Amino acid sequence: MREYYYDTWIEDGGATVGYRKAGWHRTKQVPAKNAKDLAQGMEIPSFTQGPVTRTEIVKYAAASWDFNPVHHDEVFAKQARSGGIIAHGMMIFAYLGRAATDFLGTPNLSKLSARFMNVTRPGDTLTVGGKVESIAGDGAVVLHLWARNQKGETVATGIAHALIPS
Amino acid sequence: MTVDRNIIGRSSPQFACTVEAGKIKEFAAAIGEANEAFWADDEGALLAPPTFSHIFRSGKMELLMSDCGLDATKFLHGEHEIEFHRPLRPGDRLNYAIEVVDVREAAGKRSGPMDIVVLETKVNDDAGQPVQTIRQTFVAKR
Repeated sequence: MREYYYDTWIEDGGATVGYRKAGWHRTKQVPAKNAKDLAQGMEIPSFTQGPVTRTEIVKYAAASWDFNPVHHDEVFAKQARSGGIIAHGMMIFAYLGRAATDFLGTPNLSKLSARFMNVTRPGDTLTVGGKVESIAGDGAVVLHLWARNQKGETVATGIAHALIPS
Repeated sequence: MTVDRNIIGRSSPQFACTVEAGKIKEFAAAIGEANEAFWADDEGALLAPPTFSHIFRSGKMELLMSDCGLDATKFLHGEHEIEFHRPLRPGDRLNYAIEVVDVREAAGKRSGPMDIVVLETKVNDDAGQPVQTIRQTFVAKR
């Protein structure tokens, strides 16, 4: 276990500046799930992400080296087809991956896929979750994953294939 | 705009990158990932999150599309699939090659005919063994 500093700036278009959720986050051990612990249709723990801020999007841009200005430059993004800043699709894909690895306790995925349906803008709050689509005796598990925003729109869906101990 | 099917088989220049422990943790922090597997100080135990490999490729697909005469800003990110042949660890040296594997037309339900371009990225290690295969579909309205 270790702790890492986690900060997110408050944003509301510039009027207020300060810290939200500033503090230390503790890493967590995620024990490998066993095939016997899973059942078809079982829901996996969901988590909430957001409200997504420009700062978080910029943090993802830096971590992923994706500096397409549509993700951080409001002046550019307003004139682009997106009509404003949008989060990276890959950031949402990473959340789907996180739902899978935080549940299975294994990053030993064999396949992970996503379909993108709606964009995420600053201020949106996402809920990310999923369920066990199938589980075979040999430990081959398929998860159905989803990310929804506060309006109930599906932002992305995903499928994860993994092999876990049986 | 109709996409020329002759671009199938066109590929990007190959490029190589090395997976670094600090970058894995920076990425984990950016996606709120607290799983110890992505934070281990013992580099032998540290793994990269599933979508981590994509950071080295940022902007390269757009370059390939532009080489093929396509305006990447007209295309939307449709489906995306990553096949993992083995986990990614610090010290892994990765070689990337991106190729146009399909160009086709689809009839959109509301928007009329659309162009679909499928790009495949092969990520291999220095020994030539496959690490990941990434397939991505891009969609543009005519």
